[in-house]
Parts: sequence; structure tokens; C-alpha cells
Amino acid sequence: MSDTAAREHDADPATPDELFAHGLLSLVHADAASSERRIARALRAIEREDRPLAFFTRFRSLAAAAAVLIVGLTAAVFMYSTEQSAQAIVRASLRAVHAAGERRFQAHRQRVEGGPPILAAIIDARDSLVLFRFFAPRRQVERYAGRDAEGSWGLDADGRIDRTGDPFAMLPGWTGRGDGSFFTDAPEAVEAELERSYRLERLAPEPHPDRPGVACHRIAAIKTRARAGLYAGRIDLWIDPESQLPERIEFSDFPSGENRTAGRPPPPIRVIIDRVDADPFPDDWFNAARWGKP
Amino acid sequence: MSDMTAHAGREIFEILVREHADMLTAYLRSLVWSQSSVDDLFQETMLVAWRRLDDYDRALPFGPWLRGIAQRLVMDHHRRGRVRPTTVDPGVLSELDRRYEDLARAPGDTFRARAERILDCLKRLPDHMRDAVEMVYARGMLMAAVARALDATEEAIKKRVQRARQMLAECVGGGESPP
Repeated sequence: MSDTAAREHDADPATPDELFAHGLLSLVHADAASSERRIARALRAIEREDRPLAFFTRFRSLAAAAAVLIVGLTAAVFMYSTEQSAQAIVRASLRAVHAAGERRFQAHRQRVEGGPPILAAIIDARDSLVLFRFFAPRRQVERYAGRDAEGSWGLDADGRIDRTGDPFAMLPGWTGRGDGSFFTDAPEAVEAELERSYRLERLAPEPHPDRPGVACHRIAAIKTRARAGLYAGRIDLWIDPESQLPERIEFSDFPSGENRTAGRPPPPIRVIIDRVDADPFPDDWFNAARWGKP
Repeated sequence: MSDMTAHAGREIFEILVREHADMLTAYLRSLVWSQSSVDDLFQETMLVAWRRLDDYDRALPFGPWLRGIAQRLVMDHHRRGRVRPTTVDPGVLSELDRRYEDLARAPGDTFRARAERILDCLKRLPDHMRDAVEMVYARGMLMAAVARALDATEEAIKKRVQRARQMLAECVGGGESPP
């Protein structure tokens, strides 16, 4: 509503109900860009404020842990805030992923605590199309699976396209089990599964893994249904508050022993999936025929 | 304070700003008629909140604290003749704050999602009221222009919009359907 139009209300008697409705009507009819400009302007003004804050300086003596403590205090703030729940953030992220178009994720696995993360997979997605490329460097093996316009597919040991069985059964054991696998569906399916089989907790914000200066929403998902859901007992999410996209998904607390009985190596202690930038995928990128023999 | 600490503090405050931006915008629109005043007051409120963050009682929700700052700024600017508030009545201001607090407790993931309930309520208004409200708020038309478009007097349109806002607030607040 324009200023001119708004000023016409000056003569109106102001009751709480009227003013309340006026505020809501003005908000919902304003364009989204104006809201973002307002926020950006306020943040720039805050950025120009170059003064120490007592709220944060009270932790001066704990310099090394100060950032962590602040994050902890903010967790208390958020605990009392009803503005946005962990479920709401995950749902918004799920919608954002679906609207994101093409995206690429890289998965690294960590065998032992403190050990180096090893590239385990590259996962590409476009709408419902998915391409998984798994790497087993020590055995110099690459395995391919995905979903194209005809459905799920995998490549057998000879590189032939197999659409008959469960194409994901050929993938490393730590990628999933039974009806719950976080790699048999696109990453967005992981988030949907979080809501069904996990208790979602909102943690204090943390810096973006790759972009200094950007704080991420932090969600921890603790498994509540032992025989259902994804393979990991705990899943941590770093979600960009602006784009709502999950920037990092970290799986840990895998059940041990089950894969040993299947003759497979034990699961890693952690699998870390990061969203990464990628050039636009070629049109046939997700077609099984591009990667395997008929 | 280390740079890291200050940096983390700003990052965290940015999240708070973003989470409460819609609520603060709507609240300021309730307090002052002018959009440009709303923009200035939005920035000033966030700046004051940032400067006084150590005064904030972390056991309490952030939203009401932010509204308190905004209300004091509006009254202060009013005393200096810089803005024309919609009301200076302490009773009205208190009741207005209560309505925002009630909305914060209503079902919905975000403040905007809760605020958008008013659009459903708007659909259920009588046609003559809904048309007037949409012309004013969605199309930014002057009351005189609305009056001409709807073949009514300007005074009648003002009363119509006034009554519609009352009904919409009752609908949003109590879940009651407009007749």
C-alpha cells in the first residue's frame, strides 16, 4: 500500500483489532523483495556498527571457546523462540531442494575417528532423475546406479545396464539396508525420512562449512525407530538460511556388525555429504545408456 | 573480544533478524501509517536490539522484546514530531501487542504462514468489503479512487474498510468466519 493511501487512514479510530489487521494485510500484500531489501539494509547498518558487545565479551576469558559458548546461549534463545521449529526448517529445506533444479552432492566417508575423509560418491540430481557414482579407490572400482525416465537402473560387473533387480543392491553395504537406504533415493528423500523416523532437534546456528560469514541452521536427527528409517543412528544437517538448501548432511552412529555377517566391510564411522557447485549437466547425463552397455 | 566471537555474534543475530523480520514489519505497520517510516524504524529497531543484546533476558522469547523496542522508538519519534503513530493510547498498544503474541502461539511454521491466514479470512468477507480491502491493500488505491470504482462515497468506503479490518482481526485471532 502506498504512503498516500496509507495516510488516508489517519482519521480512522484505531482499535487494536483494526491495527492488527492493518499490519497483517500490509505484510501479506507487500512484495517479497521489499522485505529482503529491508533486512539487507538493517544488516548493513549492523555491520557498520563497530563496537564490542558486552553480551559477547562476557566470555572474553574463554577466548578459545567463546564462539561455542555464544552458540550455546543462542540455542537457549531458539529454544524459547516459537518462530521456526526444526520440523519447519527441514520442510522448508525439502521444498527448496525440490525447487533447486540441478544439484550435485559429494559424499566422503571416514573410516576411523580423526581419519581422512575419502571421496565415496558423487550424487547428481535433476528433478526426479538421479545419478550415483560410487568409488572404491583401493579396489579401483566405480559403480553406477541411478534413476532415469525409464526407472531405476544399475550397471553390473560387466558394465551392462540392469533394470531387473534392485540396482542399488550392488552398492557398498554402508549405503543402506532393507527398506531404508539414504542412497536409494535422492537426497531430498533423506529429509522426508528424517521426519518419519527421527526426532528432530534444533541446535545453535553454525558457520557455513564453506562460506565464512554465513551462519547455517543446524538440525540434529536422532533415530527413534530402530528397525525403520535410514541406516544411520544420527544425522546432522547444515541448512543455508537464505537458500534453505542443505549444505551438509552428516551421517553417523551406524549400526555395527550387520554388514560383517554379509561378508562386507564394517560401515564407516561417518559419511559426510556436501552440496557442491557444478556446471549444468548435459541433457543425457541421467540416462543409463550414457554410462553402460545395453 | 576476538574477531571470531564478534563474527559469530553477528551471524547469530542475522538469523534472529531474519526470523523476526516479518513480525516486526507487520507490527510497525500497525504502529505507523507511513511505509517509509516503517523501513526506517525497522532498521533502527534492529540496530537498538543489536546494541542492547546484553540486556535481553534469554529466558524470554525474542519477539516481544523486539516489539518493545519498536514501540518505544515509535513513541520517541512521535514526541520529536518525526512520525505520526496510529495510536498513542497505552491500552490500545498493550492489546495490540497481545494480539501479536497470540498469533505467535497459533499453529504455523513461521510468522508469515500464520499471518497469511488473513487471506483465507479475506475470501470469506462479503463481496463489497473484500473488494474495498483488496483495492486498498493489494492495489494501493486511494480511498477516493476506491469510492469512485465502487460507486460509493469516500466516507462509506472508509467505514467499510474499517469494519472489514475488525472482522478480519476477529477471524485471524479467534478462527471465527466472517459472516
